[in-house]
Amino acid sequence: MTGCTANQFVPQSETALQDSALQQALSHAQTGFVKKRAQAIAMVDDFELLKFKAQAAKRNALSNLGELLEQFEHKVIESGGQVHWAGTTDELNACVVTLCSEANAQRVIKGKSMIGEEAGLNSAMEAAGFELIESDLGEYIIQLAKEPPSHIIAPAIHKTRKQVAALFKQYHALGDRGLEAISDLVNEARSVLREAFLTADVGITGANLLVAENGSIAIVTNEGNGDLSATLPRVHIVVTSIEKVVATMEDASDILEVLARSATGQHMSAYTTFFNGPKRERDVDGPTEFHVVLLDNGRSALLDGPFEPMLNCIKCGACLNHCPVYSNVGGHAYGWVYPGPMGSVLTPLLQGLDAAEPLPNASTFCGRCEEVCPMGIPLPAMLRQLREQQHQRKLEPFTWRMGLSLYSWLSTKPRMFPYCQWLLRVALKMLPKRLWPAGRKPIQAQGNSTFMKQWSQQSDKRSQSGE
Amino acid sequence: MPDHPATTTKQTNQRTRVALYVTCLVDSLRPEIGFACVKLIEGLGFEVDVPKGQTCCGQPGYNAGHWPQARQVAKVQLRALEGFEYIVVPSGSCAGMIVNHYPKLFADDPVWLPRAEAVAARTRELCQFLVEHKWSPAVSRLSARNVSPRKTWAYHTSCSCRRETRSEEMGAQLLTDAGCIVGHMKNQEVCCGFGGTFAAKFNALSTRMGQNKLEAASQCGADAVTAADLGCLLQLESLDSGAFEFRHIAEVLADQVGSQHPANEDERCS
Amino acid sequence: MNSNQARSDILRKLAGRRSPEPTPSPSPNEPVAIQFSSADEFSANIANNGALVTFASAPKKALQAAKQLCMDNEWRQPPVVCPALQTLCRKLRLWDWESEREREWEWEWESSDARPTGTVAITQAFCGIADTGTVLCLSSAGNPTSLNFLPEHHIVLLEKKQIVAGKQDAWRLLRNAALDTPRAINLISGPSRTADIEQTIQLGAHGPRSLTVIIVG
Repeated sequence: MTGCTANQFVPQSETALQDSALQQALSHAQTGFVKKRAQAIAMVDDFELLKFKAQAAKRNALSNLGELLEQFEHKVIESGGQVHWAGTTDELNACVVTLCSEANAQRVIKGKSMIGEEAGLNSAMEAAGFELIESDLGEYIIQLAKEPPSHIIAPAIHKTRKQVAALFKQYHALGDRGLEAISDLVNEARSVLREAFLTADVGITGANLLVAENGSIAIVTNEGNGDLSATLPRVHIVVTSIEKVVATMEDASDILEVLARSATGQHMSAYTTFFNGPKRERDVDGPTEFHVVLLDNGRSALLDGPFEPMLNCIKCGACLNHCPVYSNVGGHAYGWVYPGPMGSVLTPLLQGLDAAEPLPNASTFCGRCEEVCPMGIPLPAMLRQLREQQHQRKLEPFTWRMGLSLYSWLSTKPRMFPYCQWLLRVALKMLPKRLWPAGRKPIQAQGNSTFMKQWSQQSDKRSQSGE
Repeated sequence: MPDHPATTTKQTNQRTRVALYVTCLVDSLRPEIGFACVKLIEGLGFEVDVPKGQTCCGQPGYNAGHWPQARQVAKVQLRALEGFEYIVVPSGSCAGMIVNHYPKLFADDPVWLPRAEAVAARTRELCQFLVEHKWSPAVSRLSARNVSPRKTWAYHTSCSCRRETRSEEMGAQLLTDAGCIVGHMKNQEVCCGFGGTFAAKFNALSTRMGQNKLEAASQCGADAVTAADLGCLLQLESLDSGAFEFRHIAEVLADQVGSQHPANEDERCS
Repeated sequence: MNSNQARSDILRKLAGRRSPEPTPSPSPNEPVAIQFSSADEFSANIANNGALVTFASAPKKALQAAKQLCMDNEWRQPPVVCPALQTLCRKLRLWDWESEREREWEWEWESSDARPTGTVAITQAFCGIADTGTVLCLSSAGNPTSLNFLPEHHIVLLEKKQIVAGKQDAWRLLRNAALDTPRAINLISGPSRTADIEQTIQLGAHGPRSLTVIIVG
């Protein structure tokens, strides 16, 4: 996905609030994710300890990123695979297109990859003439609908079953059939995609983790589509990013301990697989070529800066699921690949502060995201830091800039401040109702004067009466 | 106005000076919350001082990224609040600003950091303070005069009380201890949609979030809503069509120990 | 696009890192005793993930139990058995493969029809992980990964003495076994599932609709 419409967050969110199908879909989703996560965590003896270990594994990796990536590369080559490096998303797309051309591929099956979304890989592949089929059910649905994902782990969370049935009837020439039940839809997708798995030349997947000590890549899914994409086609291409590397299998498992629990409320997803190179000489299955494409796209620049903690993100989606903003507007309102709190931080960092002005501001700082983040990312603080940068670069709307500056200035003048309060009290009284924000009734100031004024009058009285 | 109860008992707290940091919202718009706080704190036997230099904690500017300005505002508040045993704030949000964010603002300032930390260490959100000092209606020397008809309260645990001062359960406990009927509101951990400038910048979204909260309040059978943050209460009040009464937790608790008006002269002494 | 150029650019940026402060952590390669676990804890947890668990005293009995399972469920096609278990299977003459030659395990890249998309697969696990209810399968000539994913139903044999407490124990067990790193290490914690439509869980998204673990020993 290349077009970023994050600057349209306000109109996009207003449209989302009026979209009854979306609201219905979101209401299903949020409660489910939240409840399941809470249950999974309650079943663990000490989730804080698991978080601590996961964060330590990540911190170690980030403090040693260059060396671990070189070690990873060395081990991948040793196991018969190849590593490719991409500074930008264009380089990543060009690399994948070249690999597919060299493999004489026609049909490409793809597992869900947020890096693929970030790069707009699907459109690059289609432009190069390949037939690309998404295999994660959610991704497949939105591919048919020609929409971007609206959630990082549940891409089609905004679709109702009726909408999915309509899409399947439009794109699958399978004649008259019911498709009322969700099981009908899942079964139909299974059989349509099974054929695609068996006939694809190349499988593209993302990776949840890269392991430096042995050159393995970990893929976590519940459907098993990642494993089929990585096993059946002749060529397996992994598109991933540099911050996903960890030192050891032990470190990787420390992160896995918090991933599924935070994401879907499972102790483990149904399938977690560590892939290592192409098929071995005596193996009867597996791809003959194994490629890993490592994307930077601005990540290395975050190291050592205030936003380095964002590199801890393991894309579990817990911050989205618990965000009161996300849960009311869904992912599309955010205008780019990553929605919710993590997206409100990542989008300005990867797309530019001026391309996503509203996102850092679209938070009440309620702090729930930070509370549920298994990797300890201080998301509200990151958002506040982005606001500070917007202020520095004069990107905030002029009226806000002036209004808040004036209020801050007045707040440093205790003698003048009461006049400002008096003005506020009068303004509330005088302001015509129509000037109030839509949907709100006017708020009135209580009593005849401020607390401070009443208090000082009383204190005077008290001291006069000899108290 | 409010009564200033006797100081004949609770000698132990006599010399402890407590500053009430009333907050700009309470000061400007809901002065009675300030008097309710005074009543509650004095009820514990403390002497209440309302330092003159206080204005606003600086959160609007701080949260908007105007950090140098926020530092100036913070210095003014710190000057006013230094030298007290406790600083009591009837708002999780403003208390959180002083406790958690002032030290961050002055992290690189060797002069102001210790001053900020000293004030932060003495600052309490109102409910925190009351629980710390074992407040209960019986502790107050005022006889309980429960004149108002029994209401069912929806207690909205503000996000600041929940995640900045971690005192959300204290508020619930105080209400129960004071004999209030508190309805069980679902999704308590979800934000009401105020968020300061957020409410103005994203009105439609903020409105929906507030309506969700009001719906939860109505589902729990409440006819009144209380919280320890006036910002949340004003947000909800502006969206309510008259179904609820909105009162700050200080007022609700103060009501439980006796009526605020008129002052009971018999119990006063000098 | 020049991967080498990108490589040196990225590594140069990472080398310029200001303050690498790794947190000291115990070396993963230190010999630490492997903690084994009970079959009960394992089976309770994997059952909770939606898998079925049965017990058998020996591999022979396990295969017989698998046969019984197929009959009970009316999975009529002979199962696809991983090469590692085929000799024993043939010896036991549990299924009449000769008459249904095409169901025999056989891999031909050229003909996708030969891929084992049949109803049931029977494979072997390397170990079980009790705390999350997970079986760990290693790919090899004797245990091709495809069998864990293509069939409608997956039956996996797990030795009771190979049930460890947690993932870290599984890695120790694996390191002790001193095998070459396999192409795939599958941690399987239940049947294939999806909740992509209206957050409603459906089993059998792309992989097996059911997972049965037969604990042997």
